[in-house]
Amino acid sequence: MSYEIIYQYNVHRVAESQVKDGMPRYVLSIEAGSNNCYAGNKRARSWQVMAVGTQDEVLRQTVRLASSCEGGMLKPGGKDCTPEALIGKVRRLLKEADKGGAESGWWAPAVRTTSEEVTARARELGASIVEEQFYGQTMTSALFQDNLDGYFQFVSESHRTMYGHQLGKVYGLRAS
Amino acid sequence: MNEIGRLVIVVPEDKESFAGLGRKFVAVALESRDGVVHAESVTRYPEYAYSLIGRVCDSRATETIGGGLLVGGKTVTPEGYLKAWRAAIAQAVTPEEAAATHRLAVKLIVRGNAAKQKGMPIQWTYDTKGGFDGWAAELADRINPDKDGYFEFELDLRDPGAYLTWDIVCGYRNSRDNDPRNERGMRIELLRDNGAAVERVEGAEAHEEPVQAALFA
Repeated sequence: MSYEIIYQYNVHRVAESQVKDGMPRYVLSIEAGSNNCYAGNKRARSWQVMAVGTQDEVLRQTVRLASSCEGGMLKPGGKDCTPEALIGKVRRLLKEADKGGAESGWWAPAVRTTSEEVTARARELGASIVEEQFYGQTMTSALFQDNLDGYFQFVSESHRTMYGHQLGKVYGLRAS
Repeated sequence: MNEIGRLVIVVPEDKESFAGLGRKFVAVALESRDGVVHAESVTRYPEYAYSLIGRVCDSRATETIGGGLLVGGKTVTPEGYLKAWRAAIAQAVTPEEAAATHRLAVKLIVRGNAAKQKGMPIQWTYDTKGGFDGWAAELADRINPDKDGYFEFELDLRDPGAYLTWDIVCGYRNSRDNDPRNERGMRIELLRDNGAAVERVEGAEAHEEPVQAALFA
């Protein structure tokens, strides 16, 4: 059976001062890849955003994703894991981020979608819209570079239905 | 939402999973709204335990964060909520116990198209009727097709062989036919003391249904 392996985690913390509502935000990224996809002799893997938003929003996305742990389709470190264990891991990562853990790489408030409705809402919240190719499919990228308040408003509205990898991008993180 | 209890009912199927996945269950969440109890299935159909826990994560457990779903009027962590469901699975009751003790019945809704399924050969080794026509003959008094050939009838999970009948007969449907009359279903029925139904709730989405007195309070 095919399953997804999580190799590494990274959290970017967006300070309270950067957001109008004064609540810190988190961008939780994972280096992950399928157990049966190889690049040479090594399993293929890449960094992607797993969850983004306030602590509650990140936990909500984590619980949803953790549903895959119970059936063995998501395995942190390549090992079986309960949803509860993954949720606990993310709680610890968020706490460490609050203590000011060392950060690396960059993240971008860029939403990737094929939905016209989602694109329209992102535009309303101030995103600039560009088209991009993603695995051969034409998608819309809604860029919120200079508009973090609009971005996090979008995340608050969308985090129950959209996934982390659609809600943001990460770059420059060290590969395992 | 205020969840006041949960009940897991084990499916008394005649076979176990070939993949060692154990038994299938129906998970029912009991909610209090305006002093009235509602019973809602967590999943659309009976599921294995791993799938049930996954579905709880995917739906109700996410709502515990921020207090969107309370348990007994109190906030609960998703971890604590999952623990409660694991305990409920461990204490799963039979359909007979669910009816006798909790006055709750599971109805399996068989749907299909008799005209399109006619003549379909046996597809599963455990199909004891040798194909759809065998089932159509066996269930002739219950299969009453409309003008387009669609039929619908219900089975009570307490009936002998109900789950397998539902599973196999629905398995002959054309999966590309998205007509609602072709969609299998399941609903939870609350019973009066005399066994008569007082509420109809189908699937995981149906919320706005008639209400009843607090049977589980």
